[in-house]
Amino acid sequence: MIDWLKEILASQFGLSMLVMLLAVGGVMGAAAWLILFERKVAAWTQDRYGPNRVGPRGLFQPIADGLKLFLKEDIIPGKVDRALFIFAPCIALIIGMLGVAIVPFGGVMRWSDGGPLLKVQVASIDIGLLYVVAVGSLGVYSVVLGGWASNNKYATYGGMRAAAQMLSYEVPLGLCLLVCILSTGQLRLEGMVERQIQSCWLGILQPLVFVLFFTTALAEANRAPFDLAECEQELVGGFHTEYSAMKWALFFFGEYAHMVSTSAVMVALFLGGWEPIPFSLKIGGWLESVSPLAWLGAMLKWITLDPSPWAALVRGGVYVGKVGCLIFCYMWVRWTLPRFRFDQLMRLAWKAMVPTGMALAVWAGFLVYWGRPMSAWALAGNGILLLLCGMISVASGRPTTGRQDSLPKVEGVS
Amino acid sequence: MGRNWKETDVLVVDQPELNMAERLYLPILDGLRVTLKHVVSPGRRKRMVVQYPEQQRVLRTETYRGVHRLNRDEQGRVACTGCFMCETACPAHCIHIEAGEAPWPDREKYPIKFEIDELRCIYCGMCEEACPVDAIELTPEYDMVGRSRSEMVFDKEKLLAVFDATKNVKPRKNPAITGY
Amino acid sequence: MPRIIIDGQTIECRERVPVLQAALEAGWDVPHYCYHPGLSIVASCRLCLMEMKMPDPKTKELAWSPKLVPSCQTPVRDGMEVRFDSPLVRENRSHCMEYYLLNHPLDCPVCDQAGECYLQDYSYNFGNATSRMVDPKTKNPKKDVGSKTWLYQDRCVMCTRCVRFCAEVAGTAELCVTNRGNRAEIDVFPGIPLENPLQGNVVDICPVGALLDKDFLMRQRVWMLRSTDSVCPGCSTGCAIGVDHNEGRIWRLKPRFNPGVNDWWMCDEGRFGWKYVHDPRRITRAMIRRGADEERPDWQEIPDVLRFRFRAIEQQQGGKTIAAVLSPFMACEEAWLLAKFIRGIASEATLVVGPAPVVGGDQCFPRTHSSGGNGNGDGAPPADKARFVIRAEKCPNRRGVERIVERMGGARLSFAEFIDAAGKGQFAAAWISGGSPTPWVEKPLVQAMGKVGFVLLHDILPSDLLPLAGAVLPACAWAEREGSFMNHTGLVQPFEAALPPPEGAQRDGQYLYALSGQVGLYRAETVRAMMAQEMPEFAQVHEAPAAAEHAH
Repeated sequence: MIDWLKEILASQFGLSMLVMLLAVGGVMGAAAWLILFERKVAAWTQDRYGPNRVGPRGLFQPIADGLKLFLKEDIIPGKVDRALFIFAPCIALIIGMLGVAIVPFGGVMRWSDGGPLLKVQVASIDIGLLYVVAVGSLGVYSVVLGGWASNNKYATYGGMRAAAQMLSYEVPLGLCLLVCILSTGQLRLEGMVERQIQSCWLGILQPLVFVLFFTTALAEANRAPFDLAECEQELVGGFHTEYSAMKWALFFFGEYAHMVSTSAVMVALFLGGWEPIPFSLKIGGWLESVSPLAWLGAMLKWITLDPSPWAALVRGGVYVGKVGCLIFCYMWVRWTLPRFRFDQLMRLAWKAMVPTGMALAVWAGFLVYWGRPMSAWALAGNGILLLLCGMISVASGRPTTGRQDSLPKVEGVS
Repeated sequence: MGRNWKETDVLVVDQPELNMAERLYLPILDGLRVTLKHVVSPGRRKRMVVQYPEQQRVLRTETYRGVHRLNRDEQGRVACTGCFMCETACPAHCIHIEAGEAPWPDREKYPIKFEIDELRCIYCGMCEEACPVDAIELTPEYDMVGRSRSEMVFDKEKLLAVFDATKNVKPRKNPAITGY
Repeated sequence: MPRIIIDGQTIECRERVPVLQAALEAGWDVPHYCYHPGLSIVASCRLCLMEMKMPDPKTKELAWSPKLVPSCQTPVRDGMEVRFDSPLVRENRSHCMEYYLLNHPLDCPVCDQAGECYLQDYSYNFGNATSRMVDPKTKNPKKDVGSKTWLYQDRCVMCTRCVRFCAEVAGTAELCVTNRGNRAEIDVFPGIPLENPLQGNVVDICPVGALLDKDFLMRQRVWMLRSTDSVCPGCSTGCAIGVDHNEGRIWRLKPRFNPGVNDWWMCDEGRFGWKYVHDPRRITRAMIRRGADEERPDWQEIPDVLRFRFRAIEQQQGGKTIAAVLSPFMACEEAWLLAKFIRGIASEATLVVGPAPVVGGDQCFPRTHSSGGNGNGDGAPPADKARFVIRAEKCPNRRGVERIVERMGGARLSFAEFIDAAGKGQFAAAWISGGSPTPWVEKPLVQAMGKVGFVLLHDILPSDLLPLAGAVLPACAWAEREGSFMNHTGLVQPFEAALPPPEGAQRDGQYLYALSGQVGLYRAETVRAMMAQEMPEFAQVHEAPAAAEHAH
């Protein structure tokens, strides 16, 4: 029995199953506690403590919330499309978690010396990033279906807004991914991480791409300042107006699961995956030559490259830590920025982000043609492009936000 | 409607011209810096937050506008004369009075019924301002609870009881006024 | 028409009116207490004093007279020039107000007049903020002068309007002034309380809170009341009244100035006759009996159900077996809609005017022995010379309903003939309209209705007919309806709905409108326009003129 288990664990399948169990459990638990974290971050930015009554420093708040949500009356309003109404929040959660499947948490490892090298990842698939794009785009279904099935005009408006917004932001998202693919020449996430370990993190080489991608990720997750689908002032609750109890909570879980998976993808694309610091191989090599810090250099190298299970575990920790930092950024942005107006949202996507993303993709393609896709030229190109964007914007003479100049004149006002 | 607008009636305010940094959304970083400053300074929230109910703020009894009370005159009778001034002044329409002839020889009119819907009330204190005999006053009491809406409609007895409970904390301003 | 100059403005005014009246009609708010256009002039309050241009005795040139003259006692003369807007006049008003408030208790918070009080208004406009009175105020007790009125003597300004009203309009002269000067009081004679059928008017004409209505005492503050123009349904005089209501309830009725009909007055019977509106026994739900079951149908389906029932009877037993009793309490529009509906079902259906209650004879005022008398021995003048008449016919619209039935033509019966015919079993279906505040169903009617197959009762209060009725429709009180009444002289006077119908009920006009096949909201004006095409007498309605504040 135990031998059989060991055998299975020693195979890639077994490890994948293990990672999957950890990932699913982790994401589900994380979603619950991220809601607490969100409330804490909100409180902190507003000079409050946040929930602090249940358990030490309010740590058991999610359990209380969960209990409450389970015990609440689960209302299905009359004249809704029952099947879709129940199905929509389920999609939200499932789609949110699917993205985690290809995240390379810990590089490669082997259980014992001489054993096969295994990837610490649920699935390493050839189309990697395309899978991310495909699965991420499905997320809009939950919102649109939920809004539509509610048989409520506000909910429908919320769903329609979400659809329009996600379609728009998918374009710059794709362009950003194109830059990453061109730069690394890889589609597999673990391959991209390895390329970054060899040269440099893409977040450093292509900061503009990173910022664009982060922005589109906010929009794709329907997070502030892009949460127009649940804009209270205009749409009551938006797409989840008619939802209550656990179904409503599933939408929430879905949103946070989505945050986790997009953050994980972002870490792989831009922040060097499991690498603890940028250039850790070079820095580690250099440190090894400095006698008092040699152990530090060795440790950096060990964490980054060693195939032992312990190193893989540390790598996983580094990865999760980076994801956590990005999620904090999501929340930080949410409690800093007010919501966009819908026309501003569209203008930002189509007039600012799409052209910039195109220019970046062209520059990345040029670098590939030149044979230096991951060089400092990329960074220089980003800087020049940013300057260019600003100049064009100033030269165009139009404010990027605000008044609609093309409206007809009001009758009677001369 | 029907007004003829002149050109001078319209004030055209142009949006301020944005500079390059603003057009590139860079001031967002400013905002992020500000919020981060608050996130990483626990001293601030320690100073700001009152941990109710363990901690409670010391209220200024004279000015705080909490639950209403109906004052008693020196003989312990309700001081209100039922003039409907508070009901008239109330912007939330939360006061309901039914007046009648007073059973006392020295008084003309008194409230048979006096009800305040404490849920509807906005605690503006206009009733207190309007009262010609200083019979209705707002007290520093603010922690009241009820299990139903009807329980939060305070009747005359309850409002008089609030007076009995708070008269030591906040004595009547003009105890001599008894009404008409 | 004489032209006079007031404050430099030339106005045209009626002949032989006091300058005060001319100024009031032209829009000046001249303060006054004792003057009332319906009473004799005493010029005692001195508030309306004005400056007038008179010839100087020496130079014979026109100049402002040094002495103020009472504008209420000075008739207009063509070309005369007066002014109210002068320092002297204003000073006089301020002094007068100070005098009036010397002994005033300033108990506005408990005074029912507050809000419509001339003392408040004038004090606010012309008075002083403080009193120079140092001596204790004279405190006069309140007096129980009659079963319906309190006299708060300490609030009185001694304008004597009430005394003059009792003497000149009611003719009963119960009130008088006792004592003199500072101690003058209004009082009744020992053992003779203020009890005349018009006594409620003394409360209306009292410019301050001295005379108060016991029925309204301390019930509501007047600024919370909304007044709806209406017509009193108490008798066939059709006094113009305002229904003062708040929170879906009537609190009091007040007469409106309506020259030639009720002038400024109304009788107590009408004034306090609204209590039945809030009678808890009222019929508020429609009911249709189907076999032994009582059904409570929705208002939407009632027109169809009733139309179906009447059609079925018309087809099975013939149109001659259908009759409708149109009550004299119905508005003209409602009676017309009902008549149209019945005739639409069967053109040979019978129309009957319901019984008009008559109580005693007409009561005419003033009841002085000097005015000749009408032979009744109560000292009252004949009706055509009286200043006010309470009609014996205690319903508002007999004439209107009779006119409509007449103009509809076809089969008509008097109410007595109808009872006879119904007793003989001539009718298979009858629509019986009631609406009287007093019990009106008598035994012969109940017995006769026992012979009618389908009785539709349309009434306001339950009666012996209720168990017989195959269908019941609630009637609304006049204050809940809109329409018009034709009074005893043939004036068509419109009235508006002051209250919503009681819960569960619908306005009579509304369901009659739906029954007659119309869609939408019932508006009396619309129906009146439809009526006027057949009956031009309904094209012209008589409305009481709007009066400015302080005008009366």
